[in-house]
Amino acid sequence: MSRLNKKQKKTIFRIAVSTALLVSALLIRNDVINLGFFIASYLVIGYEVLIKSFKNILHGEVFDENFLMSIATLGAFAIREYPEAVAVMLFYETGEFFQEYAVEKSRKSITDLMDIKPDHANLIIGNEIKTVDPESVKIGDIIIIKPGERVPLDGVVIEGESALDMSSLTGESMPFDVKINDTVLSGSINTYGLLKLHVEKPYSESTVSKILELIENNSSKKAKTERIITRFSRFYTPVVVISALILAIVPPLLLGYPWQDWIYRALVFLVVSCPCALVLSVPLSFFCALGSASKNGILVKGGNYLEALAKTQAVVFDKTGTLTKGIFKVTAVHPKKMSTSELLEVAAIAESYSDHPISKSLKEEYMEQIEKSRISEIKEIAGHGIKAVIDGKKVSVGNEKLMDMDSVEWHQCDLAGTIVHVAVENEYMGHIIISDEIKKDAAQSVNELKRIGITDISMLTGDSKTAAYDIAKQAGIEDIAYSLLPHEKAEYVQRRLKSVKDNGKLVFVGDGINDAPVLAGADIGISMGLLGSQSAIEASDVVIMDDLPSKVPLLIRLSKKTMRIAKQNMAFAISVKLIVLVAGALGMASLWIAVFADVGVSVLAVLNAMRLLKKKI
Amino acid sequence: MKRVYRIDKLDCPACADKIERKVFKIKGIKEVNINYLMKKATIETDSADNEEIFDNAEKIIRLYAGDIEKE
Repeated sequence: MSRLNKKQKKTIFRIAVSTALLVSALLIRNDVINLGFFIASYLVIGYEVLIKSFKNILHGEVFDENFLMSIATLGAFAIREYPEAVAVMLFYETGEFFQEYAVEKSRKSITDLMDIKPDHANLIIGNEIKTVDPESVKIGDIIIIKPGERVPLDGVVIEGESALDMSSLTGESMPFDVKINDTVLSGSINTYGLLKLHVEKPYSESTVSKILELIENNSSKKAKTERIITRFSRFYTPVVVISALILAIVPPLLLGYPWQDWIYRALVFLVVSCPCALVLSVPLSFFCALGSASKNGILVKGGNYLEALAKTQAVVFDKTGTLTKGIFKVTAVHPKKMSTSELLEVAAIAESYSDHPISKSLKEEYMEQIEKSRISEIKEIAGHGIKAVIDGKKVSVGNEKLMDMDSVEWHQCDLAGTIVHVAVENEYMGHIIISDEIKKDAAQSVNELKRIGITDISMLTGDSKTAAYDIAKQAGIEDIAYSLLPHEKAEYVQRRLKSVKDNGKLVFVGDGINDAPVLAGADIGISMGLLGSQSAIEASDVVIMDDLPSKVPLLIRLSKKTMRIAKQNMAFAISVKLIVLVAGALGMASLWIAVFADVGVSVLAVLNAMRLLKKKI
Repeated sequence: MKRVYRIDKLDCPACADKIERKVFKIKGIKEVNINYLMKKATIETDSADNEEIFDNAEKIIRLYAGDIEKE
């Protein structure tokens, strides 16, 4: 057991004293003295409940659990069932204690996740270093991160080298190396070197505050199951309490049955009438599951998405950045009528204004400084490429569609990868092959999905057929769609949505670059948090912090487990209560059983939900 | 306008639902979320100047949860 707080210690003390008094009362033969002990035992354990119920009844809260428990136990006193009156109160408080303890523990495991909040930033002002609140730092400020400190804001390294411990963000324990010009995410911990950072985002938009916001608000979006159980509990208590009233009055009054016997049955009803086990068990299951997902570097924006994920029937992966690393390299240059370096030069200059990963790889391969004055009239055609004028000549750099547009006769290439064709003055100059590496766990993710029964797996990409087939083959995906423009990706997912049947759900996994509308259009949109853009994180329902596709099957497994546990809890709580109600009405259930049906069930349900917090999903 | 409160003393999950429904009935309340597990109440009103609405909402929460703390 972890450390107990003051209130918990006090409760344990009260439980002990009350139990001792109850045992004494049972041992004492004198009727008057033992009644005194019963009352003392009752008051020690029950005074808080009595005070609360008194307060609540003043506000007209007749269906308050404290009030119902007070009436049930005082009623037992009235019909001279002293030991049971005390025992019900004692068990009730003991059960509440365990329940509170367990809930506290699961709450703690969630709030521990929020420990990533940085408390200060070392801001450089002139020649001085000043410790300031991260919220007061602005874009463009320079901050220093010492070894052992948490990175307070997202930024780019301008001096120093180190490895970052990102385990609190991604669940991944391997440190991540950073050097000059690398982007650093807030929330990670600097392990050894001194880093100087150029701040790129204000605190409110930095990764750490986005994550905190997600964790804090993720339980506000309720799952349907949660809403059903809350609604059920709203009428459950009034119905049971009114039945208790009828049970206590009608049979004795109309049929002449003994009052004592029927009042006892009514008291059983009152004890079982509290809805807390029901109201707690299901939301707690989702709460623990969201916590468990966060621990694994998966941020889920609400219980409703877990519920939907459990019904996953189809998974559509984006290729670049999702199944592949998104790091492009020029792997071959096939020139025609130009030298290799000339071809590369034209392509690099043409792409010099673009941020596309392909452009970056061209610039990297070219290596020389690009004179931007050589290029003019740049026109970027989405899904095709770039047209521009370089050194006074009309140049087109892009895929085969761009070549077709100008009726340039392009050449096929057998190599896998993205083919960038180059034409000058509508004359074909050759092509450059750029390829991307598949992520290590891509094939494993696909296998794992198949293993858990999800066979409808497809991949879409804006890339060419050869690049698509190459990656799909390595990942083990047969169903692919290639050469899609951004809006065609969204249309493709819309079409797939129609083919998913029987309430099944379609999951789209993308890196978020260019696919925000696709993420929003799928039943569940999962984005990659490291590579993904801010808008993608906003448009998606789930964010995978370490960009590993293998987190997708893990999450689906967790969602299924969550639904199983939530349903078990719901069925268990409802059926035990119903059985005890029926038995109670027939005079076959004692108050001992009734109090178990109330708090005992709550405790068991809470323990069941806490299984979701276990490390292994 | 949105405000968040800590409701550490709220100890009954069914009450969270009750508070939620009662606060929601106050005129001018846009959204209310009583999170029993995080022990947090989030209240959002329609417009910016709403001291009275917040006062009323706070009163209802206090009935069930005792002391509350603005965050």
